[in-house]
Order: sequence, then C-alpha cells, then structure tokens
Amino acid sequence: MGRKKTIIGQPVIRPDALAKVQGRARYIGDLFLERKNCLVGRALFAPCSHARLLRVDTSAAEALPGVVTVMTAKDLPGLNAYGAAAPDKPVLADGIIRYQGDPVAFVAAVDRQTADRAVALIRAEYEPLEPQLDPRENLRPGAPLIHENHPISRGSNVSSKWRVERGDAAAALAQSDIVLENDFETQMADHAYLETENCLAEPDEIEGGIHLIAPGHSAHLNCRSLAAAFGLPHSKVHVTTPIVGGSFGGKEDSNLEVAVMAGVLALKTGRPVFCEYTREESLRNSGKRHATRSHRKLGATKDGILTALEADIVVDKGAYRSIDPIPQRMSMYGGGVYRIPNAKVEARSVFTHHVYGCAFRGLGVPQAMFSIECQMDDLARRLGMDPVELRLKNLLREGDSIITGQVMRADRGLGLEKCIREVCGRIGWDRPVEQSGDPNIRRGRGIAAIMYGSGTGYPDDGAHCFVNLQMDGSLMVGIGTAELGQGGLAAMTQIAAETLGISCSMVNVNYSDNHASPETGATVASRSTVFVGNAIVRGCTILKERMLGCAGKLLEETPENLEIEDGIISVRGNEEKSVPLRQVVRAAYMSQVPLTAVGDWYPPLNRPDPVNGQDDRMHTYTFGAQAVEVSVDIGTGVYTLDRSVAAFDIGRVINPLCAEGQVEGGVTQGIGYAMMENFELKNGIAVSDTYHSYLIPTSMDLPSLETILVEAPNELGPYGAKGVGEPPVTAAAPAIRNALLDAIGIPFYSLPITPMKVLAALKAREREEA
Amino acid sequence: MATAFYLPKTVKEACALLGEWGERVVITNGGTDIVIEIGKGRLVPEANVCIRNIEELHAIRQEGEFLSIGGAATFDEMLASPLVKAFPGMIEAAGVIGSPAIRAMGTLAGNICTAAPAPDGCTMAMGLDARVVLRSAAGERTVPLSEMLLGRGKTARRGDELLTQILLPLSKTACAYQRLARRQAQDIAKVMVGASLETCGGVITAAAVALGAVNAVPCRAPSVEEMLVGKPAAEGLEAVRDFFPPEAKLRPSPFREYKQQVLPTLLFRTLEQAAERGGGR
Repeated sequence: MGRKKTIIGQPVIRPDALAKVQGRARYIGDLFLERKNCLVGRALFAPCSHARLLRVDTSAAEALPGVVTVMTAKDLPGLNAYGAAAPDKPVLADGIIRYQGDPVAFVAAVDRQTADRAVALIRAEYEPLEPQLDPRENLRPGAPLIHENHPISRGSNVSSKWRVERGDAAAALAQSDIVLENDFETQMADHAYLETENCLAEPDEIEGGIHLIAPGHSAHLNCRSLAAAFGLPHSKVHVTTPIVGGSFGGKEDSNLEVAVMAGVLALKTGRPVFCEYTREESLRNSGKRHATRSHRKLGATKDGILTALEADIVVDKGAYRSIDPIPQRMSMYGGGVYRIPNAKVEARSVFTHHVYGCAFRGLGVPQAMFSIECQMDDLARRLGMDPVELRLKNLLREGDSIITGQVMRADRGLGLEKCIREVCGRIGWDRPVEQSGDPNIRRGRGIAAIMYGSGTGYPDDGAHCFVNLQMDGSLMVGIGTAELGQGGLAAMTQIAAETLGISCSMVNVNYSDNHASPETGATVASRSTVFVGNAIVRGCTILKERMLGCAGKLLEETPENLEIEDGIISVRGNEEKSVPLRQVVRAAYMSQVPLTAVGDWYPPLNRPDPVNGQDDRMHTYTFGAQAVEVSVDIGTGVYTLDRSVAAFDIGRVINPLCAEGQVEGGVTQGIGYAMMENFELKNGIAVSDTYHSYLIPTSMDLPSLETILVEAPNELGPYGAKGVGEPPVTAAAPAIRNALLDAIGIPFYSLPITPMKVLAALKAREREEA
Repeated sequence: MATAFYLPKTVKEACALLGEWGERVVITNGGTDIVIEIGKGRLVPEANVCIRNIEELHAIRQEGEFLSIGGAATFDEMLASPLVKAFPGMIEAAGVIGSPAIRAMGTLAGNICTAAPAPDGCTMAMGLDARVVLRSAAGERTVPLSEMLLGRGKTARRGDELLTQILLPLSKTACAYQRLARRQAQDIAKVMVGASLETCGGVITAAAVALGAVNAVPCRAPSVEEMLVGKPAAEGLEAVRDFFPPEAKLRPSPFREYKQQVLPTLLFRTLEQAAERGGGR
C-alpha cells in the first residue's frame, strides 16, 4: 500500500472562492439590507485631538422625527470602557478627548439620513487642550499624562516596554572594527480593507443578552472585550463573524468601536441596530501600523562578523493601548536572522494624542526588519562585500541563537539559507544588473531576509476545537477562527479531512461563533494553520481511533490493521474487507461511544523573561527572503519596481494556492509600505482621510510577483506546517531600499521612500558634490 | 429638498433648461467629480441637467482646420477614435486619467469645466491651443481654452451656457504629454506638461506649452513658447533646458520643493518628445 491519497499540499479550491467572485457571498452589510425594522446607529466624533468635553446638548437631535434614541456617557448600560488588551477606551467620551476618534454621542434612527441629520444637530462644547504628539516628549519626566488613571500604565505615558540583553553590547561595540550608527523612522500605515468597520447588533429576546454580528479576528475576544461595557456576563454576549471583507489585523480591535456602539444602542432601544463607519471615519478613527523611531548601533569585525547591537526604540502608541506587543517584537527581532553575540535593545511604546496603533499584519516586525536589513547592506557597502555574502557569513544555522538566546532547531523547520539561495538563483544575483540604455535610468538590485514566529508567544496561546461526527459519516468542526480572506477555511477543511480520512466535501467548518466553538485563540500571529490545525488533528485523531475501534469489532480485525480513506474503513492490504464510516458511526452510537470530541493544542510553554528578554518565545519560525530590482529615473526621482522574487519557508504547505495568495498579498502590502503608504496627521488630525490622499499600490505599480515556497517541516506543526499570514509583509521595504542603494548609491533610513524623497536626496548629493 | 433631474436628448433642450435654471443648475455627465461634491454636501444644486444622452455631443469629427470633440464624449470614446490618435499627447493624457471606470464615465468637457488644478485632459488641450465652443439659447461663442479657466472652480462659462465642443487645431499633432505622480495609476499628478510644436524647415514656427498642477488651474507658459519660436528645434530645446517657467507660481505645500526641482526636467522632456514627433529632432 502506501499509496494513500493525501489531501495535504493539494491546491483545493477555497470553499468561499466561487461565492465571492460571483457576488453571492453575504457580508454583514448585505445582512443589514435584508433586515426589516433595523435601526441605523451613527456617532458624533470630537473635532480635535485633545480637549475637555464641557457639555453635550442632544435635545434638538432627540426632537427630530425618526430618531429613536440619543446616548451620551451618562446613558450607558455598563462600564464606560473597553479594549482588547486593557479597558482603557471609553465607550463614549466622558470628560477628556484623547484623539479625534473619541465618540461624544450615539444616535439610533430609522434610517441613515435621519441619523446623520440628528448627529449634525448635537451641540457639544469643548475646551481645547494642547495635544501631546511627540512620544519622545511624552517620555520626559513631568510630561502631562495622556491617561490620568490608566488601568495598566498608571502614572506613566508608557503603554508597554521590553528589553533584550545578552552579553556586553557596550564593551563589544567599543572593540568592534566597525560601528554603524543610524536613526530609522517608520510611518503610520492604514490597513485599507475594503469593508469598513461594521456591526449588526440584535437583543436576544428569549435568553437575554445580545447577539453581535461583527467582523473581527476572534468572536471570543470580541465577547471578552465588550461584555463589561454591556453589563452582561460573557455567556450572554453571542458573537458571530461571517466572512470578513479584509482586516489584516485591524479589526482585531478597531471594529470594537463600532460593535460597542451597535451593542449599547440595541440594548437601549430593544431593536436591531446596524452601525458602519464611512471610509473617512475608518481612516480617521481606526488603529494604524505603529510609527516608530529606532536609534541603532551595529558592530562588526573587519571581516564582516557581527559583534554587537545596541538599539533604543520609541513607538508612537497613540491614545489607547489596543494591541501592544510592539516593543517586545521590535526587541526580539532587532538582530534579524543573524548571530549577534552581544545585544542590548530597549523599546517603549508611548501614549500620544494620535490615532492609536493597533495590530497590523507583521506587528512590529516590518519595522524591526527594515532597520536590521538596511544596516546589513550599509555594512556590506562599508566592507566592500557582497550583501548576500555578508548575510550568509552571519546567518542563523542550526544551533545558533537569536538575541533572545533562543536556539534555532532544524527539526522545527529552518529553511532560511535555502530561501536566500532560491531567490538569488531565480533573480540571477551572481550576474550584474542589466543597465538601461536611457541615460536617466539607474537600475539596482536589493535583498532582505526575515524571520517570523508562529503564535503570540504568551503562555495563554492555545487552541481548542469541537469535532462532531454526524450519522452519515460527515464531520462538523467548530472553531473560533475567522475567515478574513486568508483561506483559513480551506486549510482547516483539508487538515480535518486528511486526519479523519474523509473527503473535503464531507467536512463543514463552523467558524467564528463563540457559542458554537471553544476558545480557539484569535486569528492572528500567523498561528491558525499551526495551532488550530493541530487542535483539529488531535480532535480528529480521537474520533478516528474510536471509529477504528468500533470498525475492528464489525470487521473482526485489530484496529491497528485498519485505515480510513474517503469515508471507507478497510483492512490494510485487503481492501475487499471494508465498512463505510457512516455504518461505523451508527454502530458506535449504539455502543455508547461518544461521537464528539474536543481537540486542543498548546505549544511548549514559554515563560517570558521580563528582565533580559531571554526566552524561547515561539516554538517555530517562518523564514524568508525577497530580492527586487528597481529602475530609478534620476531626473524625477520616480522609480519602478521591475522584479520581485520572494521565497518563504512555511514548513509543509497545506494548500499551495492559498499559501501563494498569502505571499503575494503580503508582499504587495510590503511594497506599498516601502514606496507610498503614509498615514499623515497634522496636530493629531488626520490629513489622509480618503484613498485620494492615502495611496496604496495599484496593480500598475507591481511587477508580476514571483513566489517560491520552501518547505522545511516543523515537527510540531500539523503535517509539518508553519505560519504564513504575516511574514511576507516584512521583507519588501528593506529589499526595495537596498535596491535603491545599489542603483543610486543613496541610503534611505525612513519610510515610505517616495519619488519626492528620492529626488530630494539626489539633488542634495549634487549640491554636496558641487 | 429634492433636486430636479433632467435628461435632455438635444442640445437645444439642454440650453433651454440651463436658461430656465441659470446658476442653480449643475451640468453632469459622468459625474466623476460632481457626484463626490454632492455626496459630501459641499454642492447642493436645485437642478441637475445630465447631458449624457445627447447623441450629437458625443461626436468626434473633423471640422475644417480642427478636430472637434463633443461636449459629452468620454475619454474612452476619445481613446477609441482614430481621429484623436493623430494627437499622441492627447491619447497619453486621456489614457492616464483616473481608472478604467473613470475613463468610461468622465469627459474632456467635464475635465475643463470643473476647473481643477491638475486635470490631465484639460492641460493637454491647452498645450494644443484648443478652443471651446459655448452654446446658449441666445447663441454660440468660441473661447480660447487659455481664457476659459479663471481660477479654481471658476470658468468663463455663463450659467446658461453649455460647452458643446472642444476644438483642437489639426496643425498641432506634434504634441506630447507627461506627468509625474506618486504611483502609476489613479493618482492626481503633482506636475504635468502638455505641449505642441509646429515646425517649418526644422525651425519652430509655433509652440503651445501648458503647465498643470503648478497653479490654481492649468496655464500656458508664454515664456517658454517665446524661447522656442523662431529657433531650430534642437537649439530651442537647449534654450529651455533647466528653465523654470515663471508662470508656475508654486504655493506652499508638501510637494512644493519637488515641483520646483522637477518641472524643468519634465518640461524639457515633454518638448523633446513633441519635437521628435514633429521630426524636428
């Protein structure tokens, strides 16, 4: 035998694909259109970034026909605070405005027009206060507190901090032949999902409580984050998440703003309420990728061996804590994919009156990889060494450790070097870049290498699922994982089908419903395929063993000699002797064998080291490399990305179509981050509040993206898988920056690198040379 | 308050409606600019006259010394017209406006009448020394495009007038259009140049140069035109190399320095391309 068909690694078409491309998939906005008697909720937001709210007069709005209720902070049913990580964001502003997205009043009315008119009739008075917009200033002793009484950061403007220290960085730098000292700056960026934040909230008239139909990364997390604001126990907050129109991390908590509004309005009115941000509101109010500043020193010997790293990192947290492992991630990944024996990295995220920073695909790692990978190219240039040669010289190999002390293991998948060699081979790294015949064009090539752990790295990072055999031999799987467009449903279906031994069409995944699934952990941190996939493997293995046991009795064989394929249990080597799974399920039920199980999986426990950051944060890491070629017009600063080759070692590939889609999507977002995306604010007020002013790349800005999937299996992953969602976003920016360095000899240290920045640098060099 | 909506089928009918409503009406076709303004509540018209269904206004045809582009012709209709292909610069300008959806709906007439700072089609048309025909119930007048734009959102068109034709001189097919933006599509350009040259025996006899995105509305650059006319093409081009035209009065903005640095380059390149197309270089 050994010819068993495998579903793993097959390009199974995603279950959601056809309905989406044919327009039949129903998003939450579609559900609203189908509802009768559903109210529409809208909010009045503060017109400034920092103020004292003096009074709110809602009488004219309340008097408007069609308005059902108007709420201010005094009308709330529960705690006037919520948040994914800490309850620090008011449901409705009460006293202080901390950013321009703080809502002052909610309105529910019979339709959108009436609700908008009512919002315009609300009179709010503010005493303007000076906004504190520079995180470095807010770190100074005596700086006024953004939160007088923050639930976590009492008495400080620091939202979170982390440090990694090993060896003696100062001494090692003092003895290094070369020390590079640079300041890096990265910008805020918007997620640019097609579907803006929304929620349909319905009071539960039978059991009490509320049902929220809302996008998000975890129905359980939505419930936990909001229950206190509703004054309800978790069991009475039912959250379901149908397919989501894109999120990229943003809706993990940005959507809570809209969900809490819909929820309190539904509880107050006793009627279903739909709330949805306009695009402008979404851009102004919802969380962004964190803007950061890093001061870094990287030391090396004259032979190009890295000796030490020192870094001081300040993150603009904005007004609320939201999701904030940014200092932790920027510290642990500060040394990139290299052996650096001495390191001291300190990072702090600091409150300001800007829009808050939230989870965004990559979670601090794009910022970290940008700085180390730029410095690697600067170092190669200083040494007159090929950038790839320098990387290979210092590259993590089995037994080497990153600056957190964690040792890299081949059995967890270590395809880093292979990724670099694959992209170099494909792009032709050993051949010089072909130059253009146009005297205005300079061409260049650049590379970057990255790593990215699967999972959150916190002790509570585990997954559970329900697996529920049906009488016909089909299987229901209950998980909290959300289908955000990433292809999670396809991967989970394949893993369940493969493990149990049935076809994909016999599996139904009940996703993101906190009443129909156990705690799965959020669909974040590039963890779902690995963590939830493992839980499904465990659950299905339990069921399979039970069914093989029953089948053994029916076939009078020992279960060890049986196998299941396509829903048929047969004797290995004697396929004639078989029984359909559905018959076995019935027999099992008659014999009091349970048909349902809970699968669960936790990675090896990591105990974070808050003193020196010396811990084994993630059980496995995804590795990758990206090489690009650019053409720069030195007359205008305009440059084009001519080629992009990306290789990612994601362990065993579950579904190559979905995996390639994730890589292409991530690479595209990384390209936008490098070349143009920039969420701009002035005095804390968003300048970029439309896609006219906030640019993301169009297909015209992209070359045909070349993707290579490298498979270095993770012994702890389901069938060897590792995470794929986030790593692809992290390499593009340094690769493009390094290609520009190669093309025009100018190093950039801040993002995005716009044509304006390129031309200004070329002109500045001209002036210097003159 | 409801907005009256009209969908006239003839120019005469449309002019009668404009005469009736005067300044209280907006003329729409694709609505690619105006619908945004209405949606945001910045524009609250009492009446909306949509000229999309006026068949005669979609015509693109030769009229004596001119190519006439109808006041309702979309960019897509222009791009599909063999007559417009004689003006490669206009094809370039029409082809980069917005997105395929915008080009299917938007028109050159609208691009002119909106009087925005950075309109691609309008800038190229000005660089072709185009004229526009304005019709009202009382009659018709022809205005040089360079006199049509009075300021941001302001044109010489009276409320009762309809722009029925844009006239491009057939002598100006040696033309080019270049723009610089922050991405390859769907971005308003930061600098734009449309230019045409006429030559006789290798000597430039006429030049029309228009600049966009450097003032409140596109403008002609007579300083450049004067430097070119009367010179052999190569010499004329050398004369304007690195020249910053004083007609560009840059306002403070995050892009001011960039515009300052790049306008001479773009101007030179556009003229060089126009000269090549005229066989002058």
